[in-house]
Amino acid sequence: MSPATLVYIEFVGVFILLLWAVYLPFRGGQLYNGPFYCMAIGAYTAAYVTKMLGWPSGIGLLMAMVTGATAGFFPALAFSKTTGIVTATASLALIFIIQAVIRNLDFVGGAQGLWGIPKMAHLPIVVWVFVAITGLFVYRIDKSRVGRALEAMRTDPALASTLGMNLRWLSVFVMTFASLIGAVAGAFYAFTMGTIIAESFGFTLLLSTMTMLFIGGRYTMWGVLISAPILWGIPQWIPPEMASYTNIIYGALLVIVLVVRPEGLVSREMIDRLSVQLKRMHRQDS
Amino acid sequence: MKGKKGFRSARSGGLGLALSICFIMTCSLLGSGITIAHADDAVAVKEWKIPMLTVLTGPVAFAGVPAKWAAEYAVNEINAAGGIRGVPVKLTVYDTAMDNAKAVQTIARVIPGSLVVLGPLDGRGSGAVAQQLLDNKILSLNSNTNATMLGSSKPYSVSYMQDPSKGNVVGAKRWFQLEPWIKSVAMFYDPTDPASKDSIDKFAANVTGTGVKVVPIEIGAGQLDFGPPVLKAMSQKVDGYFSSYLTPNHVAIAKELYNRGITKGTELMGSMAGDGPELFTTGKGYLENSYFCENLSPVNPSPRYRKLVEAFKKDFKGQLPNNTMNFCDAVYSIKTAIETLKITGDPQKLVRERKAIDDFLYNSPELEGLQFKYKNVNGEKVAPFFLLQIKNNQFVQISMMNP
Repeated sequence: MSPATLVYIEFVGVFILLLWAVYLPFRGGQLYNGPFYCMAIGAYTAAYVTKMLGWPSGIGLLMAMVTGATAGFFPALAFSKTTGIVTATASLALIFIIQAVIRNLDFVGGAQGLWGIPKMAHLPIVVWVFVAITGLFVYRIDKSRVGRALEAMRTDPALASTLGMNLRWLSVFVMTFASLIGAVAGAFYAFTMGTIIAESFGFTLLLSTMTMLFIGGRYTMWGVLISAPILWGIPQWIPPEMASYTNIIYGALLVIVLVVRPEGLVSREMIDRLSVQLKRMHRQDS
Repeated sequence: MKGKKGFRSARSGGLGLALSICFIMTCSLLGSGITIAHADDAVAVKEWKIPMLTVLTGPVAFAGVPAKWAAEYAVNEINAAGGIRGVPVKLTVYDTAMDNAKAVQTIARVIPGSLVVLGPLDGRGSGAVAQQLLDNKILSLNSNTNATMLGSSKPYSVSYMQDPSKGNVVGAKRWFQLEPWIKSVAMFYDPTDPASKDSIDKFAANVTGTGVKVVPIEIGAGQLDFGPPVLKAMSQKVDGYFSSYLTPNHVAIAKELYNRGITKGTELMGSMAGDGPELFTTGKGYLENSYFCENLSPVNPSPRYRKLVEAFKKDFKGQLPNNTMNFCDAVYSIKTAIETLKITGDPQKLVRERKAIDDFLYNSPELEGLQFKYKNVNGEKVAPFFLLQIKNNQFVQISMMNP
């Protein structure tokens, strides 16, 4: 397999993890940008542990998960009390804060960043094993009481509250779990890139990820499996002369999808219909 | 008998004539310097494919697009003169949009089959692709301009231009000689930009020997109002002001200083990051007599450079070329390497030929540039710098300085 294909596979895996991290709070109606901030923390933790301390990549990944979850838990306590635009705007500040903090920390390279990060062995396989495991977790959350509670929270938070759901702790749990996934995505990003700087985890990444989420389908976990490979692959497949038009293509796709199919390429109804179809086929077979 | 003797004589005479002709031809060829290529040296490709990673969209597209132009200009010149070893060059330009992940993905795509890569243009992208360069042992001529940045991909990075941080120091020292009343300088820099941060660190470390005090003044990324940082600088009661910012910001700083009474112009110096066309449009009147340090002189009189300037002005609506014209030198250095090393482009010899080009260019012999001869020393381009001054709204060259 060519190096370009391997790198593509790694990046697609990273984006899928990040997209699921953003999807989970969105499931509960929260546009929470914490996963991006934890992606930075996870990336720098994994990079520092493997490059500066010389520890194995597996430990780096584990440390990234721990620091990401911890760093995600405390803001989640605050953001669990906010909703809608307040959560979106205030959590955006986390991204700028973490960038500023990183730039002022000399031991992680400051503005120069960290380079020469050792590559994890069998990285594409490890990334996709984590994608599979995370996908299973997200699916189980979706189908569980937590998923139904998130749905209720998104539809009518007041009603959900009167039904006895503890929306605050639900938000904290989902945001923390999302932060953990974001940190894992960050660690894999660091291993793929080999070099990281604070600016990598900023607005550009946020916009690309949101574009993928909205095009793929923001109300279901399956849409990102289509949008991430396609949107990340576009610059690789189009002729180099057209590469300058990538952002125009992204913008056009986003507008077209939002106008023609606002729920995204893969909607809940589509998944439900497919699920019913598959059950019928299974019953017929048996 | 006579017939046989005659035949023998004619045969030996003919042989002697043939040998003589061969001898004369060989001497002529050797004397003219032409050697008959050994079969192993024969070029095995129909065109030399050189990929270039630059920023065609995004924050530094104002530099990335001229960089593409400069490389294409050099390629067109080379092809018009018969190509490299008789084979034309094909330049394929890729846009990284100043996104590190795209830079890594793109370089992974272009590396297979390539002998050498031009770019990425931006410093961050150049750092991001370091691992790919190391893994594939392929040379990139990019924006890693100093030892710190080059270290990340050593020895597979060669800077396409001189280190701007060194240029700032060299230029500033000359500035202090020309304006000896300057005893303290406020230096505006962007802490989020590794190159700007590197500049301030080197500046502060290297100009202290001149007796001039350096006062760093941070300007945050995305700053729109430069009044507060300028006021902060002025409150330090400095004699001079140095900006390592991009042109629009440098012009904004100059305007703020001018509007607050700093009007001589000689108190202000800009770096090569701030040499864009806005200096003479929105900056007209505010930058008169101010200094700039450059790694290419826009007023160089050499016919070759003047021809490039006219071609650039034609394609860019009268704009002057900037220091990304150094990509011309980069393309020509690849040509020199291929010709000197008799690179064949044979895929079977890819690893060996990549190494040969890398060894040749990483510590190069003297190379002919657009405006000067230069060398690469441990990947760093070692060449003169130029101190310029704006007089009557145009650049005038004051000094040429060796690093």
